[in-house]
Amino acid sequence: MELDKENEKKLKRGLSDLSPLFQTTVSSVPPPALPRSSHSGVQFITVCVPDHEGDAFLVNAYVASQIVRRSEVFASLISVAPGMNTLPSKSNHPFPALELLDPRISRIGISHQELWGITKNGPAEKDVPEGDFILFLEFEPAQLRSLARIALLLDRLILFVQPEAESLREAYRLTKTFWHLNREIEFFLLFQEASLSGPRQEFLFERFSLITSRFLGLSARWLGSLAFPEKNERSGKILNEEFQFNMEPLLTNEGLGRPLSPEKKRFWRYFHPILHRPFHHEPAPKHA
Amino acid sequence: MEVLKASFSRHEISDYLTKASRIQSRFPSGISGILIAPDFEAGVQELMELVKFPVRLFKYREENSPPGESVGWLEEITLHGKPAESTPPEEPLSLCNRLNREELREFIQLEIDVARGRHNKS
Repeated sequence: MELDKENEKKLKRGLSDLSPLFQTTVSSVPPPALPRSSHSGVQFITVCVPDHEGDAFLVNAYVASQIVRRSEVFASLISVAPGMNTLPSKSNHPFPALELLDPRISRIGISHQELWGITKNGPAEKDVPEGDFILFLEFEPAQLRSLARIALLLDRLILFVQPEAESLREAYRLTKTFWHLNREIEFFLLFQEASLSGPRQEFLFERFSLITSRFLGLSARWLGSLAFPEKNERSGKILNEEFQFNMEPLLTNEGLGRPLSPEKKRFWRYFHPILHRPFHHEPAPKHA
Repeated sequence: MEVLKASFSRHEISDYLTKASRIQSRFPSGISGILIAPDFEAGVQELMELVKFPVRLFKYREENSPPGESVGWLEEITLHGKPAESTPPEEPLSLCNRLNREELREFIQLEIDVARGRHNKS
């Protein structure tokens, strides 16, 4: 297949993004901690499962746990869903309830109304608290509600896909929607199978990348593959270690649109004091 | 008090945004309250969050006490926290994620290539 010059350039750039994957050596378990990036700051990520959107809440927690396990970052899962109304009302508790999933991963549930309240227009935030933190926004894109508002908050979107054309098509559909809503989002592809061969991953990623470059003018990036835990256990071994989840691009602030937008500032200012309280176990919020 | 009614089936309108805009055009001056049919509380609550005007939501409760006599009343189930007008409806996004003919062609070709790859392997 002949590529025109523009596509050739984009493909080369895409492949240079992949180079760290090829340099990775086979590692023993548990994997070594990655060096902490200098001041990656706060960033907003979501992991979407384009063909099984109901898995979004599970997958964000799983990816967060993988990142925290191999790095020194703290992560919090902000679940946006109907009925997640944890705003203090009658009680004297000053904050939404925080659920601690791990010493370095917490989860907070907010309703769509709260999301609007937190990010709505207001006076510009001049100074925002510093901190190296990944906020995972969990939601189901199919609901459409608050999607535009959530898109404005996102820095990075990970498409957790099956190695199938159909799954990639749904991933593209999602990419297109979010790309229309926020041109600053970085898109990453992560395959769901650990045993997927390297050349097959490469083939599928390259095709996906070419399509996004051609029609949307964006370069998607590739994070390798990650199996669900039960798949790891069932198969007993993981093939192609060098093609396993490469989270390094997520731990840098390279490519992030900075300074923070007003919406992100307001959101971060709201959650910062909650997430930086001394952690202690609290009962999970009760949902209707 | 004026009592009005609007209905549309789930087959006629499948998504909340269109339903919300239909309600707004049917009741341009707003609605004071809605009496929700049993089992539809959660869905109507979600739907009314997308409507521009604030609406109070009620459901009918009934108790048989003492035996032979029933007492009925309206229970308010409006979601508190923020008034409904703080959650304006979203822009329609249904058009954003539609694939055009060329995009579809690319993915069909990809599907063919993936299948061909599998066939060649076997």
